[in-house]
Amino acid sequence: MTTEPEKRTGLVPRWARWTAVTSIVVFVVVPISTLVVWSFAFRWNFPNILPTEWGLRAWSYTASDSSRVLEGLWNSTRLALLVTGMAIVVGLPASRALGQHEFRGKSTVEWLLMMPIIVPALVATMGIHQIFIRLRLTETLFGVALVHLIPAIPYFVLVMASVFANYGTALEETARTLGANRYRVFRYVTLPAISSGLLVASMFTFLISWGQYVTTLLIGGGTFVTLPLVLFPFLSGGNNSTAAAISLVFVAPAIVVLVLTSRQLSRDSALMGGFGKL
Amino acid sequence: MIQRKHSRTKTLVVLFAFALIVAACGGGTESATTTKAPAAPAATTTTTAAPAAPAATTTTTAAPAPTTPVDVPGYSTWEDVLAAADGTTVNWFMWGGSDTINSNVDNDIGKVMKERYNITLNRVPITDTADVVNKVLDEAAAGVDSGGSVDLIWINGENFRTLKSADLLYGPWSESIPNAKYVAWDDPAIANDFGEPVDGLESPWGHAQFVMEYNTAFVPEPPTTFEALSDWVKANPGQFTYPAIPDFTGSVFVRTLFYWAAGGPDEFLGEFDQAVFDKYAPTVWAYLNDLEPDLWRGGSTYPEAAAMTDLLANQEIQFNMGYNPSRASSNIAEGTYPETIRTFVFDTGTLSNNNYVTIPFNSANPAGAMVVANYMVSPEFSLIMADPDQWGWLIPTDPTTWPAEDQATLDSYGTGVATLPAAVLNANALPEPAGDWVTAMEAGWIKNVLEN
Repeated sequence: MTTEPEKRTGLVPRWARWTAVTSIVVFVVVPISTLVVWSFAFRWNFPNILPTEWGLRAWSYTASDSSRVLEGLWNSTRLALLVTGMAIVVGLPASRALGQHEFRGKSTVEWLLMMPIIVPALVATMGIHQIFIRLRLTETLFGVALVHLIPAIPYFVLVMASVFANYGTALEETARTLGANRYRVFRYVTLPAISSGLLVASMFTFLISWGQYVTTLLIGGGTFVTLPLVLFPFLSGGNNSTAAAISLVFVAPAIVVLVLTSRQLSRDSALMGGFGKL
Repeated sequence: MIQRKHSRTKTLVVLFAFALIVAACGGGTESATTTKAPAAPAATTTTTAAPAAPAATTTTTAAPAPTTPVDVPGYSTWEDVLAAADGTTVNWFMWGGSDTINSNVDNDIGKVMKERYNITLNRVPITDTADVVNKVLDEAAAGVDSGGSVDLIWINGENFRTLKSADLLYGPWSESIPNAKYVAWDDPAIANDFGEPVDGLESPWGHAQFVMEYNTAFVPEPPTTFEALSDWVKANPGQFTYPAIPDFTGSVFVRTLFYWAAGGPDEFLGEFDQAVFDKYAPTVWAYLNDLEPDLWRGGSTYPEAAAMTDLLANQEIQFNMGYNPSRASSNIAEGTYPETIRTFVFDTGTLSNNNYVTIPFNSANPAGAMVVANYMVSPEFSLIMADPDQWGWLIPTDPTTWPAEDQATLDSYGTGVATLPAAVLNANALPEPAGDWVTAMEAGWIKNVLEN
């Protein structure tokens, strides 16, 4: 434990650390503190550096039933978790196949997987909407989750395939020859090896679902209310203080997830090791 | 090392288990709502489709009580409508970007509907009404002819025309509901929505008039003619602008100029006439091109309407404009505007129109939607709407048809701090031109001003 900090300073040059800290302050801390100030501002006009009048108006609206923030928070959370769970179920086998095996048409499959990033999700969603209406999947949690899966899967598979490619099959084969069954190999060899990569991929998936607006609006029909649905009308012409307060509720989970997982990701991250290998 | 990997695996397992549990709970709640939802549409569909059904309900529910006949599809008395609406949910799709309007709708309409009629008003916040219009078009294309998800839409103008011409609206109903007697349906300004006959397919709920907002700290005397405005802009370069078309606020500013150029609205109220357009368009384009170098950022760009609120509040420009005469007052009350903002209308008048609510053809709950719309044109709600301390809106109903004591209450109201008196607004109100004129003016502006 005591040797660790020294090792870190040795590994990362001083200028790089300063650059990292500066970027975090400039790109994360400053915008978020502005939001905090705005959310407590009642009147804040140029040329005043700070609000001339403060108030809790924005927060009391955010906490009220009319804002539907609580409902949106609940819906966004269970939606993003469901999408993450589905991405793991669907994406893990796919990324393993892509990362560890060579097969005919592999590059075609990879290219197809990237399609949702290249083709805007909106275009696909328009067509899907028609089909979902017939299947009665619109306005349901499951229907919206299925649509969020489209933009989420490429990122999930991209990360996980790199992880699988890096880690190879040798360890699993060794465990098998030593007599472990498939479950034990997965539980004690594969899962520990890919876990930090899986955490990164799950975070990506969670946050992609968390930020979806147009797809949620189309498939959820506006009646499945998530946080972006509550927030976006305020960004296009609403009250700045209210927009700031709801924005803070919107970014809070992302920060919580980042802080909770940052320890796991700070060292020997599978993501850093294997990105771009696919 | 091994210890760390294990804890990481545990975190993952716990996270995944949590995901499954939450998703499972979610699934449960969702299936509960989905099983509940089809039940209501099914009931409504039978009443709407089978002519026998309403008759049956009438005899059972309203035998002793006096009945109010209505002439709407599927129902023959208002009591039938109330009975069908009892215990239902109305999904009202409306722009959700004002916390004041959101809270007001929930408190002053939603709560009343719940207490009085056992109707749950589900206000669905949207960013753009066109999104709902597309949703109804999508549902129609997919063959969803009943049990649709939209019951009520806050709408007017182009969006209404789209749905009406595609024959995707329920009705006619709005001239037949009990409180329709408080709406001046014989007034062309109410009976036509941007020149499109309403034909009983939408009911008014708000009245709007274009006003200019200005900062008295920098503009002591507002320029109330276009000549004076031009002089002011040239004397104060960079402090005036208007939103770029197709923004509807920019569009109405250009329409107001056309009326000024023609000396009145009369020539624009009928069918589109290219000769009339060509007669006045050059004056308008010349006026705007003459202003351009002295606009905000030298006219190299035009802001969005929403951004102009911030620009005015932050003294970057000294004028804003919009369709809501009481927005300045409520923005001052909300803290968005400094207290020095006031409003004015041009001496040549400004355009006015109405906001309506409409019911899509496949609404799962037209009965509930009509009950809500009926309340929105009642004298009771109009008084809440007109009260500058509550909504502070212009009302679409005709106060002369109200009971005497309600008229007295209305007369006792003052106006918002930055709102012009209703009499001043009414005296300067001009009707909207028909839709084809609007299209031509917008296209002309883009070609002759923006791209010039």
